[in-house]
Amino acid sequence: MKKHPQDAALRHLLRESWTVETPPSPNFRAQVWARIEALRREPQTWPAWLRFHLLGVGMAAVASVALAVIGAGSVAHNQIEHDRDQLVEQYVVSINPHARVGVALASYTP
Amino acid sequence: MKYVWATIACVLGLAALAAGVTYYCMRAEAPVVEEHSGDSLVWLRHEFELTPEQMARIEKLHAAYGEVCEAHCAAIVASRTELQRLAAQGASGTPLDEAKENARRLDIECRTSLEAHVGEIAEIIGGEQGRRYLATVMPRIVHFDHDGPPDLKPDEPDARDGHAAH
Repeated sequence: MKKHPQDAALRHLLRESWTVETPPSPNFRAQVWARIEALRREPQTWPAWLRFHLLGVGMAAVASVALAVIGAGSVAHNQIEHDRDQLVEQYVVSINPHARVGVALASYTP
Repeated sequence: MKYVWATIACVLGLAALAAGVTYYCMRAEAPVVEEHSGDSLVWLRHEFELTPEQMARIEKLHAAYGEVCEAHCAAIVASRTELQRLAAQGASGTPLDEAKENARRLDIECRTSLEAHVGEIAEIIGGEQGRRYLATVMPRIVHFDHDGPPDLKPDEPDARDGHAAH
């Protein structure tokens, strides 16, 4: 960066005449105290934190468990139905010559 | 923030445990399909509340019908093979008609015998359970049965004929 011969004079002038005045935030102090208070109230141990957020954590836990039970129940139900179908099929094939012929002819080569 | 992640992990763990227990409990009572177990009566044992006497009668009847079923099966295969041979030779007229008639007669014989057997089993099971047995088995038998003369090609199994369609 190039230096101007009158930089020093400009700095002096600015120091003398240019001041920036920012209006203070009206809630600045209140906000600072609110944050301090919130930090003070935040539980310091996990059990205390859980107790503090009991409602939210409880609802999330109940919803998660309910979803898991419904999902697992649905999967198990579908598998049981599928297995039952297989067993009925096994039985029907054992008594039905037409079904057996279907198997026999499927592998038949003249 | 670390408590949030720890809590999420715990909730997910709890949900996974609940899912596992639910799945295990539901599957524990249900029969498991065992390939090539050779026991085709597993379904009857699990599905219906049968007394040992009923089960013994059903097993006896099932074993006896197995021989009938084998005989029908062999006759049907023979008749269809004959039909196939005639069709391959381009035969027509009396020999083909006779072969078709024979195949139709075997189908009817087989169907009648099978329906009688299923009826006997339903009678042994009895009551509402017997009706449920019929309601489950009969549609599957009808699905496998033929209404007309079979013209099944061995290399293109007829969809009406069962397994190839499944």
